[in-house]
Amino acid sequence: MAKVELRDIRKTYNAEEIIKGVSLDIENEEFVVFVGPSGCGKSTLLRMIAGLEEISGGDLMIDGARVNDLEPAKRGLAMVFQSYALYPHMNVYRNMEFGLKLAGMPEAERRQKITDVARTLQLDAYLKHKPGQLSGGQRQRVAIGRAIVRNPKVFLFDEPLSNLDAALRGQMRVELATLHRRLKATTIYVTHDQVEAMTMADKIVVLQKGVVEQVGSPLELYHHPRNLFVARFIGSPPMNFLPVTTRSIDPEGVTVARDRGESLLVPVLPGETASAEALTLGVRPEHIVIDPEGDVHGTIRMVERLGALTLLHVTLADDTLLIVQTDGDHGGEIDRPIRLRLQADNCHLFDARGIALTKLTRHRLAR
Amino acid sequence: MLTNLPIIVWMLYTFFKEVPVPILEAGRMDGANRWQEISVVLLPLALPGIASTALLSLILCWNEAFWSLNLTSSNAAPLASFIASFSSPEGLFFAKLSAASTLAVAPILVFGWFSQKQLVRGLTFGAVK
Repeated sequence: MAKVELRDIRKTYNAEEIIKGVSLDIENEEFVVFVGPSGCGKSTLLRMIAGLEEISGGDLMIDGARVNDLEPAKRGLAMVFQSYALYPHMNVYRNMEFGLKLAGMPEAERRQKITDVARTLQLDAYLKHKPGQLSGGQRQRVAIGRAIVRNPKVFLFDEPLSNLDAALRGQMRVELATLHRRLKATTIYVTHDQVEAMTMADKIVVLQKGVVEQVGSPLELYHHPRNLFVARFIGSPPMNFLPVTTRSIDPEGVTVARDRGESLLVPVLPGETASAEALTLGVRPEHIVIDPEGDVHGTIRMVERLGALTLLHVTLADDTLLIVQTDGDHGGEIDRPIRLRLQADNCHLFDARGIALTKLTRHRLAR
Repeated sequence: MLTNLPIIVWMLYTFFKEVPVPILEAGRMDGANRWQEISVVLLPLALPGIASTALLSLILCWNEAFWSLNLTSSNAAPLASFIASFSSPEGLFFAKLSAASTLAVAPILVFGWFSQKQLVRGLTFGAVK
């Protein structure tokens, strides 16, 4: 398997820079997810690694060798496309065989390999079927099988689950994660779905407008987002944001307050803000507690019942909207007043540029 | 044959354009060179298009020949020879020539417009989505 290094990779289309200098190390056997909103350049970056897009600047290294100008097949990669991209005129067996045949593998070996992979992916009964006769999930499996048989150094996945329905997506997510554990192949996976990113990745790369916003483990991004964009993007339902002002700065943290007065001591490094500075307080829905003694007063505007959980949409006196996550049995009703308490230890502070203030303690699971 | 070339080019262009690009890219990732990409992936996918274009071309040629051979008189000439009649020893009648050419092209344009998407579906179904 292989290590992939990106050194100041750039992509320019018609004088417009789409990828603005991405540097990244992808370790051997690592499962890396590129995540970001549409148009952030994640697919372009993957296609540049694959060799399907030209690299305008920078170096792409696989196992220490520069591969910028190497043909896709010679880079030792295999790609699973969003649209599966199976050869519709070939049956499942021929689809998987095509790459092996071109590589000059003897027939007996090809047959052995394809039979093994088909068994692993539960496709053995469908080897004679054409892609048109298969369901979405089966087609996706064939696409994965076609990648696996080639025994590539690196697997590339371009939004492979986005054409599947929700139930199948959940199932394939688990299958892909299991497969990765077994094959131990370096994997680069592109998605816009942060749930896929959180559940499968060893390392997430958050991209926005061709720039890497943050690289880290799922829980590092969740507990220590570097800026407002990452904080907003990672986590579902998304983080709530409130405008606050610094009241006092102490060694234990920074005390901030909203206009109406409730103050909160957030444990962040004291040296990164000045007194009376306008900041943004970020708090996740699961870190807001319903508390009859709580000092945040609001009104329930909507109740979303998810079964195990209930999401309350609460507006405060100044019309700020907060999403609060509580247990599934909560009897919240629309238009009822509610009192809330923010868990200060789990709150985040962002300065005027949107950069997070460093927390005093690291979360124990955030590597 | 030559007079049918525009519509043949137009139809073939549409058929080849409808072949999903990711399938060709998958071929490239599998190690196909340009020739294999064309012969093993692109051509089989465009085959229904090539076949129907060939059929259409044959019919058009046949009709053309039939009309030209049998009815070439001033009262019932094919459109092509009618248009050609504007180029006479007295000179070129550009206005009439243009008007007649436009009318001659119009039915083909309409036919092309309606037929271009119809015949593509079959074989590519199941490849993507």
